[in-house]
Amino acid sequence: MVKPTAITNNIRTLRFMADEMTQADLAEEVGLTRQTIIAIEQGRYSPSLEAAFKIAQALNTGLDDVFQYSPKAPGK
Amino acid sequence: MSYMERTYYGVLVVTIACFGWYFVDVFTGVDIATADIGEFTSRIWIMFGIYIVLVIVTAVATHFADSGADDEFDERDSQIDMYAERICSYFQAGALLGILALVMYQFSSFVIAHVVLGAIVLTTVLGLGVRLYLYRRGV
Repeated sequence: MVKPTAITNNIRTLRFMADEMTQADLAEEVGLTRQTIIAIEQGRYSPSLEAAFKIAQALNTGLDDVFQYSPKAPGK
Repeated sequence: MSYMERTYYGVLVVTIACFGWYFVDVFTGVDIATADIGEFTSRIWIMFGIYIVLVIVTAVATHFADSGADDEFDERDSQIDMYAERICSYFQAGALLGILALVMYQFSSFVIAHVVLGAIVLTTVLGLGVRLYLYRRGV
């Protein structure tokens, strides 16, 4: 039923490393709703580039540490 | 569940209940061949009025149902809206073609008016259904 995106992430791990930041705190900091953060964490939504940078900034890390691109097949 | 998602569920229920009741009531007690749309005009406007009030009440009620939840509209909501509107526009184009055919084949005003009303209702239901599906499945 759920359609996974090609972008995976470590947001959940990085949130706990950032003083156990809650999804609500992260959502407020980056200007998204908590449901969108949940959808991103579960791989149901690929955020915009701007939102991705904001998330990385809020977690005090680089974009590469937060998001990884894992295409199913080369060239797709 | 976000405010938008809860509101869409509420509006879907209100839409199906309100217009479903109307269509069942009209088409079980009326002879379509002889029906005059003039007799239904005030009823249709009143129903639209009631529907708009119910939608507003639903939106306000879902806000107060969980005041701690996010009420904001963010980029994911916009993207889901965009997909839903695109699918609805295809459906509306098909419905318009069907209505054009009804006019050209000189169907009665009663039939044409109710097909237009049905198209509006189905577009609304389709849009809400697609939005709710995309919230669950992901975009």
